[in-house]
Amino acid sequence: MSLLIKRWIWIIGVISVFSIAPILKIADNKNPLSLGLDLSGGVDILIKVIPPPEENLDEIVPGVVDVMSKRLDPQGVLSISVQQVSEDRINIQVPSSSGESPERVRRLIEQSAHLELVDTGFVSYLAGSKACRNDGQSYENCDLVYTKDQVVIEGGDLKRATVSPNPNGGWQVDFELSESGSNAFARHTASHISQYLTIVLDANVVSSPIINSAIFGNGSISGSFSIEEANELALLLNAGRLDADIDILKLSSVGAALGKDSLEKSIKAAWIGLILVAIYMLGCYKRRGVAAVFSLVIFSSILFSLFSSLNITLTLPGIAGLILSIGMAVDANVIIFERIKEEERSGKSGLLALEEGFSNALSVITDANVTTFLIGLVLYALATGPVRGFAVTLLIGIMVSVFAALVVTRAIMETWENNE
Amino acid sequence: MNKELNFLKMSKITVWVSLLILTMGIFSMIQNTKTFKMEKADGTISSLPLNLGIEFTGGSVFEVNLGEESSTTELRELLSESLTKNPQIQKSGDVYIIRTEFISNPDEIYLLLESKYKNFNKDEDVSSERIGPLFSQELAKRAYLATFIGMLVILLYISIRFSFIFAQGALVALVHDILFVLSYFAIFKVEIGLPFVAAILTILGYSINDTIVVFDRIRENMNKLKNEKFSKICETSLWQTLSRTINTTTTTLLAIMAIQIFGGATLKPFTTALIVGFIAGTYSSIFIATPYVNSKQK
Repeated sequence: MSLLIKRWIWIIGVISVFSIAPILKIADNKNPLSLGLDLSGGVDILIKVIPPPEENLDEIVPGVVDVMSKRLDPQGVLSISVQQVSEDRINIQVPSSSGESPERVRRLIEQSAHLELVDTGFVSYLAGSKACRNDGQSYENCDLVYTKDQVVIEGGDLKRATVSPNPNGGWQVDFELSESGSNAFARHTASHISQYLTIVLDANVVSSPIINSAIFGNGSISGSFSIEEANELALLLNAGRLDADIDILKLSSVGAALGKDSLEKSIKAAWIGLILVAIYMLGCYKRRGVAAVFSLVIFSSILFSLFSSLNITLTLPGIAGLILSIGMAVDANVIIFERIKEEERSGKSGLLALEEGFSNALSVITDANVTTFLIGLVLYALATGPVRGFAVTLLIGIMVSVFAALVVTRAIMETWENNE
Repeated sequence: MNKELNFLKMSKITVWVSLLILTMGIFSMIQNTKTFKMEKADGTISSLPLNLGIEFTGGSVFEVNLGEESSTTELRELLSESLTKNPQIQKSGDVYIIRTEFISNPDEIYLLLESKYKNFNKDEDVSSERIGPLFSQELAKRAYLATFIGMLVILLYISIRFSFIFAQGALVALVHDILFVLSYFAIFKVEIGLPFVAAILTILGYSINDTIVVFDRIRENMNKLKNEKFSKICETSLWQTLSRTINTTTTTLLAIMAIQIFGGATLKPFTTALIVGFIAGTYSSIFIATPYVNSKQK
């Protein structure tokens, strides 16, 4: 089998292997390329988990991830990602297609949702009063200070929370208690009739209802809630409380409309750029330019299928990496064509000039691509987040561009020479 | 060969042009320290030589599309109701870019905007980036470290494949390109954000690629033209690779210009850095890297 045929088999093989994934995705009615939130719109939040003193970070973080997922996506149907990215960091990504607004996402994340029903004896407290649990730490400006023993029910005792209209106007959150919680609640309410049970959420008094009779199994929290607030509270209670403090390190939100606009413009710009490059190559290298353009088309399609196969999310810095690798692909072609021209000037012709041109260009294409590849590796290893996205597309882009220049362009040109 | 156009001779003049631009850049950086300040995580204020974005300093940027006519003064007045520090507001197309200190919860700002602009929707028409001061310092540290180690790796690779002198030449050219781009950003006070870091990395890759193409030819000619003087070999190599240099630079610039002109506003700082850097990269491989190697090689 000749070398040329082998090359074509390689090309067709690579294209068909990598195109399986995107074809399956399209057949499945999915988007073959996943776009980063900076291009498609959405909110991206990086949070730091601060565990309570004497608690182990390793044990806390998975719980936080779980609570966050439940809060943001209680049914588990939205494409929301909550991922631990380092020892104490969690990255949360919510696409705008999920219908969540960035600020609601932020609110849901920030709240710790500590619910406590506190026995305050014969004293009632106003909604909004500051409540502090006396756990040995300092507390200032507290309207209500209570101890652990006064807590009758905690968020953890809840089985389920739902929302219903409040007979006195507004909305309330009804809760159903677990078996142990239900027993404790019944015992307490039976023995403390006419006393107050103050509902404390995240150190704030929500309401301070009076106990009229023994309560079994369920109860309700009625503050002056709007439907949105009641829904949010029910959601937080159902997801469970956070066992750690949360610090937002970074939040980026891209409005759906703005993201779409920047994506459309970028795609249009990329097309214009590619067409200009193609025209220049055709003008400069005539028939060989056709081979270069064809090789670039194959380069782009392999790259596209690879991104799809490896489930790489394309972000703005990722596009930067792409531009560099496209530039390297064009450059490799230019180097080869200039070399062939030189060989022809020195009297060689046809296939011989072609062979010499390619073999002379090999060392420079190797060195240039290896150094850029090394930069990509360093970045991949050291950088985080967006710069890492740049490194990934660059590394893949370089591998494909070397293949495109040394195998695809060569196969096309040799086929032409052979047919003459 | 063209006697009048001698790259190595020309480089003796162009090196002064480079130095002039870099000096202007450094001068601007000193001037800039009066304008650009940043509050560190521990509360101390430090002066900045460049217009560093929130990725480095921490803070918030809101890009809003108000859906109707307004002016930056009108916006500033409106926002002063909820902000303690005076925000920086800039208009870019239909979009207003508002820069403030780090605000985790911007509900107040959105309320103000929604009450004034009826077409404005805080979930659709806003993009925001909010970075806490601690995280930004960490990001910056990582970016510096990556660039530094990247350069070391290049030095090592070229030392092995070529020689230590070539590696130095490539490195001098790289440092020149980065300083050149930084000077441009210092002189024109363009903001440096994360896209800029991506651009610097792209320029590093491109510049090293360009330099290696010339070096590869010098290496080849050192074997072919053993009896020639080294300066002659350099000159010949530069001429032989010239058409490749021109064609590659043109095609790359064409593609980036297209993004600069037709791409969205968010890509502009990125493409500007790329254009400046690519021109510097092409220039430096001819007028910095090669003359450097020529001056050191015996």
